[in-house]
Amino acid sequence: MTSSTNFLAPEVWSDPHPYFDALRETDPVSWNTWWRGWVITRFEDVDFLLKRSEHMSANTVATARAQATPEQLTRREATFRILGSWLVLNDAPDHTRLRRLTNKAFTPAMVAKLSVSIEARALKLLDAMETKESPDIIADYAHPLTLSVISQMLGIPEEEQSQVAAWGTAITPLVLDGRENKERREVAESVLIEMDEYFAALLETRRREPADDLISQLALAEDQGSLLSETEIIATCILLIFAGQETTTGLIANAILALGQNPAERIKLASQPDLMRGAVEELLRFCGVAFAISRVATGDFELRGEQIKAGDKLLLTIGAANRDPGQFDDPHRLDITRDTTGHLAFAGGAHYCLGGPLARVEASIAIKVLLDRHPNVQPRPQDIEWRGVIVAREPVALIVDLEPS
Amino acid sequence: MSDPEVRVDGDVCMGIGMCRAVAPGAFRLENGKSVFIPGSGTSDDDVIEAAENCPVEAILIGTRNAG
Repeated sequence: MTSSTNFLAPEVWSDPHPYFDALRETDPVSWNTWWRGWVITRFEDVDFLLKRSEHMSANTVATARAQATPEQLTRREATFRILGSWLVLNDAPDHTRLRRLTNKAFTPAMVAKLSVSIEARALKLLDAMETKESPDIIADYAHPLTLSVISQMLGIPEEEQSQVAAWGTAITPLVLDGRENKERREVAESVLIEMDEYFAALLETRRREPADDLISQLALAEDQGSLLSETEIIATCILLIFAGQETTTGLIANAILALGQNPAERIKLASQPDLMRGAVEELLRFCGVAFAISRVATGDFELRGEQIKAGDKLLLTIGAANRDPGQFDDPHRLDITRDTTGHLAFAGGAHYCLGGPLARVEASIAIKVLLDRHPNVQPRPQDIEWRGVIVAREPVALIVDLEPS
Repeated sequence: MSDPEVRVDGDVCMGIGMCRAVAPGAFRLENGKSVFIPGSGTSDDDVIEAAENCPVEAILIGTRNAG
């Protein structure tokens, strides 16, 4: 079956679950003429396509390149070159090679070492937020926190971080959106060129004087074993700048919003901080930021009676899969003690989110620090503007009352 | 002498495959989940490296004493 719904339009996107529930029920492998691809909403199918299908490619850049005119290839040269080297948009063996080189820095054991500094940073940000008339969880708390963490990991000096933050936001529309508008594309292209130059210079500095950061580790891998190219090092840094901010910032905000809308759960978590680990998993399931991710079919296959053709795009709607009643009882209920085993908020299979362990640590600490001091934190009544990007469903701002009266 | 006992927790495993990338002889994919292959000749160091690289900590390594 076919639909033509623009699901990023505010009337759907502000509360997408009724739409995707209906789709999952009546048309689980649905051709969408607006997105121009198959929209997949059942947990079983998304899980299968992520982990076991032999026909899924993450390389949406190759498809875009093949369909681009010579003029577009020239105008979007930096986009094609840089995104073409992102591990998230590559398949084996390139993906495997790049993932091997970056994975160790993000394992649970490695990111645990950052806990003390993350907590110190969160406390400082909270101190500053407490002086504000209209504290914004995004601008005043979550975003500065995630920015400082990923910048430190990469080796970006503190005085340059706000520039880097602005860049990360500007390139978000390019990522797996599939429907970014022309103006945002042009802005993103010029931002990519700036980031390319910035990281090329930073790489050169770290080659001469290595530091204890990821860019130095990648430089060493290039020097010592030609394990990755300079383009790939720079592309990886750019990817991590985007991926290391947008998504985790949104998770923290979505979590505070969800806890505000479910006060019994917020009270439970505030009074029993040892529930945090499971609570973060449930918040990931319930309001994880990456609502859907794209794939391209590499061969023809059948899925629930629909004929998928080689070259077709598929939208793996993680946010809908995580609310599938066939997988999770009473899925629209936030329950911080439920069993969330197997949730797909970080996807699954080879492209399982590299930053997942870091996101877990950052979100746990950010929520804990906030609830410790302000257990009744409550979003103020406001019209939430949701970012219109399918890989980052999060509010643009979230004003809260730390001590509601 | 002790012999490391290696097990993949099937509930936690998300089919990511870092284990296979690090120690290809010692792990195989079965229906979206990783399975440890005993007696493959893979070094203990490589098996430990594989476990340390698992993003969801699904690989459990214990030791048991032989005899």
